[in-house]
Amino acid sequence: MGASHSHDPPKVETLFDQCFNEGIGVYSTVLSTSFLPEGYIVSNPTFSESQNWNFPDSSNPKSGRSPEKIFKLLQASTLRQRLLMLLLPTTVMPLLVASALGFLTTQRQAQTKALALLQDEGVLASDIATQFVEDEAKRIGLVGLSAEVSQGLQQANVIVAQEQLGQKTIEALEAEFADTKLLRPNPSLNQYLQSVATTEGLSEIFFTDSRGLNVAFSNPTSDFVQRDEEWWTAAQTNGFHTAVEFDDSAGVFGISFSGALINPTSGAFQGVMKLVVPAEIFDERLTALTELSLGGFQTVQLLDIRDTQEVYAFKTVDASGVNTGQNQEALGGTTITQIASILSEAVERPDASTESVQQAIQQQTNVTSLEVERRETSGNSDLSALFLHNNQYYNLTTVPGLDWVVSTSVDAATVNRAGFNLLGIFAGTTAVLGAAAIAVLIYLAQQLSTPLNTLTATAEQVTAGELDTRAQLSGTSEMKTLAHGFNQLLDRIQGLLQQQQQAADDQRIQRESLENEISVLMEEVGSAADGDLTVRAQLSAGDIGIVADLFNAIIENLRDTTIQVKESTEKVAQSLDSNEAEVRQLATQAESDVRSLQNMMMALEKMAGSIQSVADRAKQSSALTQDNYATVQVSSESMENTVASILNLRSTVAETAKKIKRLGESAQKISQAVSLIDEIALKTNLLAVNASVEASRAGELGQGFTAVAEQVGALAEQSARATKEIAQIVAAIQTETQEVVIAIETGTAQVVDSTQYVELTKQQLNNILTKSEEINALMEQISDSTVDQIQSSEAVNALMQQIADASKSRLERSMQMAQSIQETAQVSKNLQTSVESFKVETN
Amino acid sequence: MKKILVVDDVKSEQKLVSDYLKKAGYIVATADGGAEALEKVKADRPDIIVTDLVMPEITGLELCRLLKKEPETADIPIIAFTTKDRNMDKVWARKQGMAAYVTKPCTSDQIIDAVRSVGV
Repeated sequence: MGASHSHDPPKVETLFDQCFNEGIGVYSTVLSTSFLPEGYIVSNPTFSESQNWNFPDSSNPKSGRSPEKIFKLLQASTLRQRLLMLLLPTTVMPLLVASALGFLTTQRQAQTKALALLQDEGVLASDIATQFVEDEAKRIGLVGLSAEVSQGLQQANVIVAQEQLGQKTIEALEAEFADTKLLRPNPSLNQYLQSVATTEGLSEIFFTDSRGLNVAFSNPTSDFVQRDEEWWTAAQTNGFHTAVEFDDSAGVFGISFSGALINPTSGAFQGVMKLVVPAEIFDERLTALTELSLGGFQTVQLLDIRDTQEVYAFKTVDASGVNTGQNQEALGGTTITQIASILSEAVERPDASTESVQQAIQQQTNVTSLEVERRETSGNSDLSALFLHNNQYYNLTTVPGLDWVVSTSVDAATVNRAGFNLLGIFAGTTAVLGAAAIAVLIYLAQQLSTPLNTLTATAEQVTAGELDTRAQLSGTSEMKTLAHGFNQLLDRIQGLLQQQQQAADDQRIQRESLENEISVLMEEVGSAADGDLTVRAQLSAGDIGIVADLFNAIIENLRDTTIQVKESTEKVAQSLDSNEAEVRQLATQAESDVRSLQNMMMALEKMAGSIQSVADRAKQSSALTQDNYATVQVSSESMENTVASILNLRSTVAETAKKIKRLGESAQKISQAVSLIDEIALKTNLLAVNASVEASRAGELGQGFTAVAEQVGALAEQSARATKEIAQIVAAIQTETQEVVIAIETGTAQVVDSTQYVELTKQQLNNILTKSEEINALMEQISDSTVDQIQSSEAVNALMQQIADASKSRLERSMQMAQSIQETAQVSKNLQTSVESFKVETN
Repeated sequence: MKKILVVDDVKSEQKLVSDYLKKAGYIVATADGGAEALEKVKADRPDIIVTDLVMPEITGLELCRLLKKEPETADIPIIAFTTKDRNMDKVWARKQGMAAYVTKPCTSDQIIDAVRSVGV
């Protein structure tokens, strides 16, 4: 089973690959990108090559790099591609999975079935063997109960008793009956046995009495006494015995059956009957197996368990037929014979459970996948073991009542291969179904996308301007509805476009009619621009007919105005004519005015001369006056200086006087003090002398006075010195007095200076006087000139007054007149010019 | 009894309006054009004038201007009665001194309402 798994997955993958290589290779990209972390770059070289993706931004190298971009691109793919991408995996995947599961299940079933077949064959072989053995046992019973055999046995008992053969040894008996090998040859009985052997196809059949002495046989046996034989003792004790043997007497390889002959009435042991069935008979039975569905590589072996130590196969059945032979090798070797012994031994013990058997097998051998089961059939029970050994599946089944074990075996590979032929069917079916599904899907996608594509193409055509194009009503009903809706939309658009066109045409016609109306209007009233005011626009029923009336109103108004203006200018021209005489008079008066003005000019010139001389003289006097002013200024300054000097002098003198006075007072006080001091000093000195005299008189007592007197004398001397100092101070005062003298001298000098200044002032003032006199003279001349001037001025004044009076009125009038006439004339002229361009009357 | 002068160069229209007004109890005089209207106004001054606008020679608007120019006739209310139905027509008519504006075709009520609305 484990081996089968290793085969399947690659096949599934191959199917996957086949599917995905059919133009849906992009699916793997979708899966991989959608599960990749963001920013993971997926490079799929076949992506752009295998599919013609018509994306607007596919030329952009940046796009299609990140997973999101790719996803967007996929979203932008055509409907057919998207349908296929979605539907193909969802359809093909379940199909593949179902196929794989179906295959696996079927294969497992086939394997189970193969193993069950193996077991069934074992059971079948076991049953055949059992049946075969039972048949032979019955045959022994039937033959044993026959009258001939019973007689023979009774006869044998009699003979044994008569001849006392019971006490004789086997060797003696053998020697005694060496010729016939029979107790008493009984040809009829032998004949009977021969006929039985012939009819039943037995190799031989014979029986002995209860002592193992041959009574009758179909074929002569090699020994007379049989009780030393194993089969005889086994039949005596067990009642029945089988063995596979090469019968020397029969000369054939056969299966011997020996059974005890029991008296049916007494139940006493009468003897043993043995019959040998040629192997061919059993072969015929076993051939039924091969006729059944014996698998090609299955082999059935019958193992005879003589002994737990000695197991050998005596029949091997496989597809080629049945092989019979002694000491054939049991397939699977000792392991199989070992298990066969265990089973054979265990089947004798009904209490032995399958678990204990299984355990025993597992302990003694190393087989795998072991399954042991016990089968109960009509009182018999058999054990079977299914196991895997050396890549062969074996099923060993015991044959009930016998030491036989049927071994059926098959190659494990054959079992595993069971159902493998189904793989082809499954793969083929899956491939066909898958292909059909893909085809259907592609067809469906085509069916779904084609009408859409057609519609898209139609829409593109319409977008390109082919509005007469209509979508085909094909595909599903929705598609038809969509196409119908699209067509209706187009109809409406066309209708709207036509309406728009119609509206534009109407507008154009309206505009043209409007233009026509305006043209007519311009034609009618255009001359008004050139001044023809007789024109008149026709009031029409048209759109702008009313504008004609507007023009008419304007023109009417203009015409009225123009007529008024014409009338006015005519009146102005008339009045200008009537004013001509007045203007002439004004001209004459203007002439006389000019003459008066000339006289006035001459008088004015004369006056101008007088005024000039006056001006010159005044200029001179002005200069003189200026000089005077300067002189006076200088003298004034001199006088100020003089005053200042005098003031200085005065204060100096006053100070000096004060100082001298204070000096005098000081000197006086000093002299008083000096005299006082002198007096005091004199007296003091006298006192001192007196005191010293008195002191000397007093003797010792007067010594203190003497000291005082001396002190006083000293003081007197000090006073005298002070007096001297004072004399010095007086001398200083004298020096100061000297300074005073000098100061007074300075004051005297200043006074002299002042005197000089005053003198200078005096002279300058004299100059002023002189100049003042000159001014006086000039001023007299000026006053003379002014008299003339006054006279001239009076004349001029009178003249001016006359002119002023005369011209004031006339000039003003004539000026105004002339101006107004001039203006009026100009206005009239202009007006006439303008108005003449207007035409107001129809001719 | 108010006197109304109906001016229209189309006889049928003239008659229609005249009949409406007569039924409403007005004294109605008619004129076939602007010139005749001027004469009739001078001869017998009406209280109201109902005039068509588009007429040969002197149009209704010219008639209006001419009447408004003269002090004696300036205060006669004039009602325009015309097929011209543009807003600019109405604006201009009012500017020219028309008292009311009735668009053809009209019902009896419309013209009578207009006549009453001028308040004479």
